[in-house]
Amino acid sequence: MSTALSVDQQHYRAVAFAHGAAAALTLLHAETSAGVLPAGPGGHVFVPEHIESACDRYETPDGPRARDGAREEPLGGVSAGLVALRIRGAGPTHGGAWPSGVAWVRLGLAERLLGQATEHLRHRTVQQTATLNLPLVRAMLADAAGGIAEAAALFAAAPGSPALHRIHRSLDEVGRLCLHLFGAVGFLATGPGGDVRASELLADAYTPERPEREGS
Amino acid sequence: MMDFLDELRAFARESADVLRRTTLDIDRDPSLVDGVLGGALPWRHVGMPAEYYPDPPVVQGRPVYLDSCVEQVTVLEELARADAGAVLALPGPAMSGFVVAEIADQRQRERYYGMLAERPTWTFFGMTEPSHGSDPAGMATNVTGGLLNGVKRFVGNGARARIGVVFARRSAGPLGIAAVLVETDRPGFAGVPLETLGLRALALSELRMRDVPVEVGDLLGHHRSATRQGMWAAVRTFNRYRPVVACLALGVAQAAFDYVVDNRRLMRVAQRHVLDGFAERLHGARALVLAAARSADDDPGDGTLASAAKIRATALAEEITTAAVRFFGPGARWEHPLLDKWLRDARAFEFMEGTSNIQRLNLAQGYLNGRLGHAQAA
Ligand SMILES: Cc1cc2nc3c(=O)[nH]c(=O)nc-3n(C[C@H](O)[C@H](O)[C@H](O)COP(=O)(O)OP(=O)(O)OC[C@H]3O[C@@H](n4cnc5c(N)ncnc54)[C@H](O)[C@@H]3O)c2cc1C
Repeated sequence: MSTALSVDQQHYRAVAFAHGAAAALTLLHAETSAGVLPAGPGGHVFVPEHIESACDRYETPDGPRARDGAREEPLGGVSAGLVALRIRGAGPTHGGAWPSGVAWVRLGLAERLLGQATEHLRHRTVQQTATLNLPLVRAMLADAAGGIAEAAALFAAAPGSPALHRIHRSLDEVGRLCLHLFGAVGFLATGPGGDVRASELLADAYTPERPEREGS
Repeated sequence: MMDFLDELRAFARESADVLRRTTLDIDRDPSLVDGVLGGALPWRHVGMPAEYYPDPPVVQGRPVYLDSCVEQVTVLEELARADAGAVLALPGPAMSGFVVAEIADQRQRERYYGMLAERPTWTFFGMTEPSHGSDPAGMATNVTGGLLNGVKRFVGNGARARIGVVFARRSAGPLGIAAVLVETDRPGFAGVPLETLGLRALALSELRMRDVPVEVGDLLGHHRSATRQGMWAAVRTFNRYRPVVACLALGVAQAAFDYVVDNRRLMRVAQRHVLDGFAERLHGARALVLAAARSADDDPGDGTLASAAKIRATALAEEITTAAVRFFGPGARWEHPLLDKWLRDARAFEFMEGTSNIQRLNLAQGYLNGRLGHAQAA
């Protein structure tokens, strides 16, 4: 299956960067799946709460189907304003724009988090030096910036689902580096830690299944 | 006869089963800790001195007080394979106990251990502040005119503890930081729980102190020379507790590894290679943690190996738990709640007792000072 990483989804990156996950997913949903709950390959749905309550259909490989409570199971916990469900029989429509849109959203979120981590450390000090200026901190920042650059380059260069996999991995690494940069603040359930978790769960729910390689 | 540590490990592994049953419930509702853990394990305390702990479990005819680092890393890793959060939520001396053991006078020891021996009691170690974590010298909490003022943040068990140690500045400079022994029911003292992503059983807390009355008798080590008080004891505590944090990370890593092996029987060749690599690293990290624990027992003034163990065990825990969910299909974080929990828990160890960067600085300095031992030129 090839999922196009179309450039016309770039604006989701900008909205995620400026306003966070819920705002970017709301826009993505309005433009690609209005009225329908988008599902991942395991039948998982992970969307802002207001979208979950407003949709009367869910996505399946054969097109949208009307919701039926008996097929749904809420998956507990809200992260960054998003809720999760599992719907039996739900799944992505071939060639749908949602999975690649989600990857763009995650790119913008990673950039947002790294920007926040940078700001946070600019205002902390270690023996009168801004923490941001410590060489080991700069090294982590560079690793995170490299991960973002790799994801952005993949978007620009290579359509298709292998690229989408690598984009998600690279953004996962950036998220973990941001958590290290934030210190214990990122371990709290709300704030940047909750945002990293939401971003990871988006990848967990919506990354297309990787085609099995022969002999591997 | 079986080696003592092997038998101790086997005993701990068996004891850990009770923690497995409650791990997800406590993760959902950390307040269950009080009811669920009470009396569930053979150890009522971790790190109580013999004179206050008349009935510890016995292995190979030896009482096991869990008062040495080697015993702790052996037992606590096994318990952490079931639930690292629950291990950290066990009542008892934990970190503050190290400080008391190092520098308290006889009356302070009696006050502290006496209270703990009465009934299961949580304690805390309050160093980190909202504005200063890796840089404790910058702390703003202070004792002036017999009053303690300040805020400590990210303090384990803080909101449920009855007594603990607060680090506070009395005067300028590195020797100006005191370790203050405080009961949490003093006027002006409040402990507020914080909601965390992982290790939720630990009840990470904020401690707010406003004009809390303190006396000279509360200053740990006040009878000792100025160079052997607050920060001196804190550094030795970190050196002894880092191997423990490393063993907890190792326990979480091993749990996630075992889960993959037990639940994912059909694996691609590439996946099997990944697991083989992790198995070797677990083995290596365990050897390093034990070496660090031995070193901490021999000389708590040297934290070189403790830093090495913490860096490597923490990285391994993060990597294995991250990789483990990828062995399963889409939505694995929801479909395998234990893996999700371990992944969240594993991320705590980076911060406890100093981040990996701080450990790198220690380790590099220790190496340069010749503390790792070198091959001798022939
Ligand atoms: C689960 C948990 C339990 C904890 N328990 C306790 C407890 O019981 N008592 C207690 O007092 N504290 C406790 N802490 C707090 C912990 O000690 C701090 O989080 C830790 O010291 C880091 O401080 P910080 O979070 O303020 O991060 P910061 O110090 O702000 O660090 C931010 C980033 O800068 C880097 N950095 C900072 N200084 C340097 C440097 N000099 N060189 C290179 N890089 C640097 C760090 O590595 C990190 O990446 C706990 C934390 C957690 C998550």
